[in-house]
Amino acid sequence: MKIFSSKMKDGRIKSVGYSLSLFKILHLIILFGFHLISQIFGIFQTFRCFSLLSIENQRIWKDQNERRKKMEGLKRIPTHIGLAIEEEIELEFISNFVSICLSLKIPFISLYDDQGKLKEKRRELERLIHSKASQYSSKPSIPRFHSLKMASKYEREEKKWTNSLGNNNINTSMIILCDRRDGKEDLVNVCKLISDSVLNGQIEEKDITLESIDRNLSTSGIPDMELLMVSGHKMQTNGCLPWQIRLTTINFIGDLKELNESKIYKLLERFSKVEQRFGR
Amino acid sequence: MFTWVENFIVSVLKEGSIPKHLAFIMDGNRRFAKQRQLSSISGHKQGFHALKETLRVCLSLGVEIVTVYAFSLENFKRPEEEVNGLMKLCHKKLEELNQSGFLKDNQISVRILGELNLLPSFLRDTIDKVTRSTQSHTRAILNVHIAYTSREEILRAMKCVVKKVQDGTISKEEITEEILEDHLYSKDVPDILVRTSGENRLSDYLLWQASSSQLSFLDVLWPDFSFWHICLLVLSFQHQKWK
Repeated sequence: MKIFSSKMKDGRIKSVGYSLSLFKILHLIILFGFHLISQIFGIFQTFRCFSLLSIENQRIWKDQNERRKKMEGLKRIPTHIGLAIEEEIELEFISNFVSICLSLKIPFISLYDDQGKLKEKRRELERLIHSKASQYSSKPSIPRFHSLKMASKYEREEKKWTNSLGNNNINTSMIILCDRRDGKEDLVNVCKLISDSVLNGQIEEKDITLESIDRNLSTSGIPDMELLMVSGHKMQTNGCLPWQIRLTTINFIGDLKELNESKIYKLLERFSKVEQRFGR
Repeated sequence: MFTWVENFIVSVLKEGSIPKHLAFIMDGNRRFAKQRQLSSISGHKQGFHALKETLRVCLSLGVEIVTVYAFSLENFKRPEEEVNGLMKLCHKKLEELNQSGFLKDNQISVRILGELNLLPSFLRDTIDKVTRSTQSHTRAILNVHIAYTSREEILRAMKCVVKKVQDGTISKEEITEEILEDHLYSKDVPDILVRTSGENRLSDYLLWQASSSQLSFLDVLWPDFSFWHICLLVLSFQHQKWK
């Protein structure tokens, strides 16, 4: 109060100081209010998810037929679904997500964390997924695992993915592990490969096309992600495969532990209704 | 002109950190027009008003760079009548902005980025005139992407780098992310990339630059995008920083 009411020779400066304090206080109040609202909304979502989770868990065990019918009712299932993990890696929840996707027979499932910890924990993740497979499907399939790595030489031909028998007829899902290096660093690698090929006279500048970039990325032969779920609260893709997500539907899902079957179904339902105009 | 309420809100928000660079995918003009039984071009005209308002609000907040996606290479697939109408509208509005003094008074430097050789010559001339007359302005930058897709931008950057390797200007080992970035149309990283109309896709926009940006998919059509939406965006940005 002394500051506000004291008379000074340079009274004008004091009144400016008063205004600044008021705006700062108001700003803090609004920011705190915003934080409170988002926390309450978050708690509400968590509560709702936990209650759904307990119901859904019962439904997994008791009513696989109904669940399968509901999922089969979806007009469109993504060919390639991704999960970008922005928080602490918890393999339990990741393996739940993968198992649900496998039960839907989604051909390609990408798992991204920018540090590459998933690639390090691949064996443990494989074991967990195999152990959970039968929870979500009466006829679980054994998926193939693939950790992305950069190409070492320039490719002229498009890659065809084969199953373990060496056939082109893919009938098992593929789980793809990727990290930050598979994004911009991979594009830099492609640029180097192309430079090499041009210097060696293998290709000319006119041969450098979008397709030639596609063929030489670590994701060559894998269709682009159609649906990407990003966990955590930063609301960013955090370097996840920038080239490959040009037309991807991106959903921010909050905490990974809240991603249950019901939530995945709702996201898939929303995805199946999306009509892309592709610029038209 | 701002109302006293808007002035007050701006003053409060400026107490926190203001995003330096905002990028917008201005989606929803045609749906806006369809809802009101107007022509597509009318929707795009309303979209231009929303852009001008957005610029005004961003300037008052102290945002230094505003980047907008005006026309994609994919949009050339639209009916010829609509594409021609858009080109003429773009030409008219750029002329208006320049002649009205809005760009000079606010010291906004305009950069038009994309495959400009695909645009009609009358529009290229206007773009040249506007960019030249505003290049010395220093308060803010307006990047407008026309005839653009991110993949084409990255491809173009790679071709430029490969050419330099061929010429011997740089060696293959010197190619880094920074070198590629230097050859993009713009390497400014948006603090927030906003898409209106409720679609939650990047649609081949700023794939490289926005890989670490906060993404915001808003369920509002671009012509309805207003002062209050920008305030909420800034508040959510400040909240993220605060956390």
